[in-house]
Amino acid sequence: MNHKLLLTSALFFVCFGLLLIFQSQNLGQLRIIACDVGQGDGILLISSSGKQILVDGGPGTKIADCLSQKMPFWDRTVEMVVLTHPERDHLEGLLEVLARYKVKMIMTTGVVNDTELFRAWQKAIGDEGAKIYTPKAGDRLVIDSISGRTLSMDVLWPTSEKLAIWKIVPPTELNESSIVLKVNLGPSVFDPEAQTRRADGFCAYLVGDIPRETLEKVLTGKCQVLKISHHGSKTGTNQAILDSVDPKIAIIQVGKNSFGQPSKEVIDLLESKGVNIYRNDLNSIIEISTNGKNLNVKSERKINR
Amino acid sequence: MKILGYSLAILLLGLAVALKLSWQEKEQILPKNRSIKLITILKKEPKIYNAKQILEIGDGKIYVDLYPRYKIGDQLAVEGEIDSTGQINNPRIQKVGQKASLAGFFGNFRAKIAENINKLLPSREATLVGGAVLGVDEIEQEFRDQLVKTGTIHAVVVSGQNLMIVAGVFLSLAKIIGRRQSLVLATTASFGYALLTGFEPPVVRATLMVLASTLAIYFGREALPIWSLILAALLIVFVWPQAIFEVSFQLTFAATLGIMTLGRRLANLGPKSEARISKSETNTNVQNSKSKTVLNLNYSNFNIVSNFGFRISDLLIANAAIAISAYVFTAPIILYYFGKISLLAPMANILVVEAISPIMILGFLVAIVSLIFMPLAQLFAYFAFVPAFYFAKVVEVFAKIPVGQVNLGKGNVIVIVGFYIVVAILMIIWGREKPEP
Repeated sequence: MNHKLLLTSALFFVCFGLLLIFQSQNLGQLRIIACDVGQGDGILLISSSGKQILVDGGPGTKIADCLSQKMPFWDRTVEMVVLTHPERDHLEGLLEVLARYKVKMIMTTGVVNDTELFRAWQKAIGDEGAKIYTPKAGDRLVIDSISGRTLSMDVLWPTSEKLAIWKIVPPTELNESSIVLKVNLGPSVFDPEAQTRRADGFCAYLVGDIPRETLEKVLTGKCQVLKISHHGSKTGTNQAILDSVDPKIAIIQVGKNSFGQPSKEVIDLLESKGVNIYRNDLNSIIEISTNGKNLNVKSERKINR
Repeated sequence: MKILGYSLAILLLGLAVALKLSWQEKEQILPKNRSIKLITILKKEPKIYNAKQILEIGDGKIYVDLYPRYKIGDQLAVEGEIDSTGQINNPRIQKVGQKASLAGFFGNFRAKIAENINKLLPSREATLVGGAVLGVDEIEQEFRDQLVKTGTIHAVVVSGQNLMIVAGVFLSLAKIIGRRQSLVLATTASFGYALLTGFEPPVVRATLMVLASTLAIYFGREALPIWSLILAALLIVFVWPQAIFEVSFQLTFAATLGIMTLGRRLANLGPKSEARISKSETNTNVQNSKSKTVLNLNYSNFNIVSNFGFRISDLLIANAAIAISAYVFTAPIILYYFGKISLLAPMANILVVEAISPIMILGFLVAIVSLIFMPLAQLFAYFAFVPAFYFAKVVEVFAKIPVGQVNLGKGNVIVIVGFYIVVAILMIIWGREKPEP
């Protein structure tokens, strides 16, 4: 009798759980999830085969909750973690991620910041034993390639010259060292014929806190999605950038803050171009999913602006 | 009588431990509203909340960034401003040394288990499993708000209910390993649990109260549990007179008393009607059915099952009775201190209460196995995930319901006393119809 009860309830719970979990998964799509980490950045990419790349971890530990909600419960591995630059609002949550998940690769410029937090980070990545990758402009990382569609990431910034200089003289402004990435989903890059059918590809710029003067120089063409630099500060966005990216969707990773972010100038600029604005402070978690052709945006709260 | 002797012996033992603890419990009183410079040894595990570490030093609280992490036994030189409430925000801290102690040993042991659980489960489920096993130090703000709103936060702290489950699981082994052995095991396990959760005086007090009443309810007669609960409470007040003013003590006492009295009445409701049916239809022995209801509240579902066969309705009713009675009896205290109470709590608790025992039992398995062999612990963690996921989802759904909270009677003694009188009268009215077993 005892066993029957145990087995019955176990079966019930297992079925119930599996049902909900499988419903909440959508494999086969690239998902770009802008986690609501408060005033900071934290973007989770999940490839169509279920690989995770986390770009920044925000302040505090809220990022862990976001990962838990968006990753299947049995998956305790994050394939790659990217630290765009070593400031608290991008870094702190990554320590929590290292403590909770197995991380295979860490992308970081190696630029140092003289804080207790940064020293804790250095110790943590040492303990994790993950492969460290230093990105250089021009690098292309192929994440996966499924049914003729390739997910890749282009490194646009920093350049190897800059990295060499920063090794000797650290940058006066850490934002200047922010990694800029372009995420591409489209026909295989190794298939020249497919290259010509470029039109149905998808791409997104993830730019960290990079200043606008740098950003406008490194952009390579139009993209559907632009993560607005520096939490919507006017130091990160200008007309020229919006003209060359021509985004349909802008993500502003911002929380309650005393810096007046996002700036009214940036919002006005985006609105004048008819860009759909999604902000973590108003929309909570923002999830963009795409198969390369169709684009779908899901956010938790309604926009109430 | 022999059993009563055991209970008393345990109480005395507890008392001895308590006395020794209270001896050490000289609280440091910090000066207020000035700049302060002190060297101190951390005696409590830092709490992590809202992207801050909170270090408790005497009657003061230090708020610092998440990193570097501090732990029990760290000797710290602190320099900063203390305000009128004893808060010190972002002082300069330097770690000057480390002192090994028993508390430090258990603290590290706890931290290791918590770390392992965090590696095995998604964050909310890890909070629930870790909280049920150890009591939480670290909780994500949004989830905490949801737990508070639905009145289910007690599941992740060392609550009377969790302690009852620990005691109940071992006591239910009585049939297999014998009464005395199960008694010793339950006592050891309860104190072990208290030790794991930090052995802070509130936990020790709760352990004593719960153990006294659970033992009595298991082995004794109807009236004994209430008396032994009161006896335990009196002894505690004798040792820690200040405890009587503490919310945690009052809540544990009220919840335990509620489960002992109202809870048992409520649990009798279901099976009683069942007994009627069985009398007329299947002619089952009514006497048997009644004795079952007495034992219904042994806080271990396994017990009902092994002794009387599987009746899912009994199980659900018994669990719901625990949730409701604890809610009714603690409501006035919560109103008195916080002035508001969640209307959703009874319903949410009835739903989540089913998951708490499996979370705890599987949680203990995960905790122990994780210290030995992580891959096996991962397997158990997958099982523990299921009830924890259910718990988290119920909380999430209920937290979204826009039914608010009742604002009433903060600091008003008349409301509180009136509430209890009404409950007592109701219980007398409804209790009279039914012949007591």
